[in-house]
Amino acid sequence: MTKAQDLSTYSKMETSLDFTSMYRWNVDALEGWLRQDEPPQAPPIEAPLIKEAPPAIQTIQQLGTASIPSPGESNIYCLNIIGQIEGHIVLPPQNKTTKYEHIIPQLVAAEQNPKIEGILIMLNTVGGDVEAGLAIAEMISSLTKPTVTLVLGGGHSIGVPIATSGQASFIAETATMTIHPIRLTGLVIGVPQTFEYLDKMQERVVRFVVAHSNISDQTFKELMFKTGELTRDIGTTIIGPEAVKHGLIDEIGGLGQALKRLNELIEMRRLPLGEQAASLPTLSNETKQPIPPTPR
Amino acid sequence: MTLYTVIPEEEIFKSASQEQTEQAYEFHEMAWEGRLLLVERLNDDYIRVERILQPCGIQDFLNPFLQPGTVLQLNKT
Repeated sequence: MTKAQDLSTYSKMETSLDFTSMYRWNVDALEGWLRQDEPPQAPPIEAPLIKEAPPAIQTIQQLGTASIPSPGESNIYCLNIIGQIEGHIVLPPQNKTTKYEHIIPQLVAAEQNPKIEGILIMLNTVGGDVEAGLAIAEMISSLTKPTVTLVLGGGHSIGVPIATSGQASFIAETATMTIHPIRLTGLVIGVPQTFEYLDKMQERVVRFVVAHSNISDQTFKELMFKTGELTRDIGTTIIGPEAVKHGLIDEIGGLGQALKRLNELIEMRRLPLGEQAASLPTLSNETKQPIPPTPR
Repeated sequence: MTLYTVIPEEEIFKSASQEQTEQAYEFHEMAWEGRLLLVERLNDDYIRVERILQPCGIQDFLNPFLQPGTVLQLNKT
């Protein structure tokens, strides 16, 4: 190829290129070069992001068919209760919520499925709707399969009855639980009636907690109405070991201990009835108090 | 509805104007093969998994296709 030919092809090329795209390419190359020392930039939102993760892009039908638990799979069902517990009213989108209509069918399915032998409930909740919270707590406490609850991070307000609803309960050493009175959200119509109503709602929570843990009615109410601890409210924040000391939670522990206990409970349930009773004393904190009469 | 929570009410029920300053989350529930997923719609064909609301079993949480942040293509039939 002569130099003249070379030049002519080059000039042809140049004329065939439109300048806008060439300009853009140059700018991109320059920017890439300039950014060499900078940390990688976040990719733009649209298409490049999809390009970023090629193995993840699968046609949704290629992912296999629905799998119902089959032998070799876990015999434990894990239920996560996070954020706000959402009840009859949908909370604004900035709230991270756990909805009762999601939790309740899962509990029904776990109870009914013969392959599931135990249920682990992981809690990290700030509270929420009283009705929904109590409904979940009642569901968990009435399951016939072994249930273990584990409070990680926090199990506040209506999270407290849920934390106590399992056959065994654990709390992480650093986890906290806030016990405070039920406040009013909304309009006050008549003061005595409102008070009566809230008192009743509160009594439901207190009775459930007292019935499902080793805490006494008196201690729980003391914690609930304590002043000088919370800045915005009356009540108490208790941290891991304190919750165990008050009898609200059975033991301090994390995931390992909770799973170990759940497996023990599953093993115990597999034994014939006579032997089940014999193995009971090894599980120290299982003495649940009978439901007390309404203190009125 | 009686709320029993440690989060202040004004934080839960933020007004729309306050909300606009923050990132607007647009999550949808999507049923897929017996599972209920919370997903973010990227466009007509792609979704991003936010979390599993209702798994088929505990092993779903280990499924790489259902990990939070995974982009999935919807199959149009």
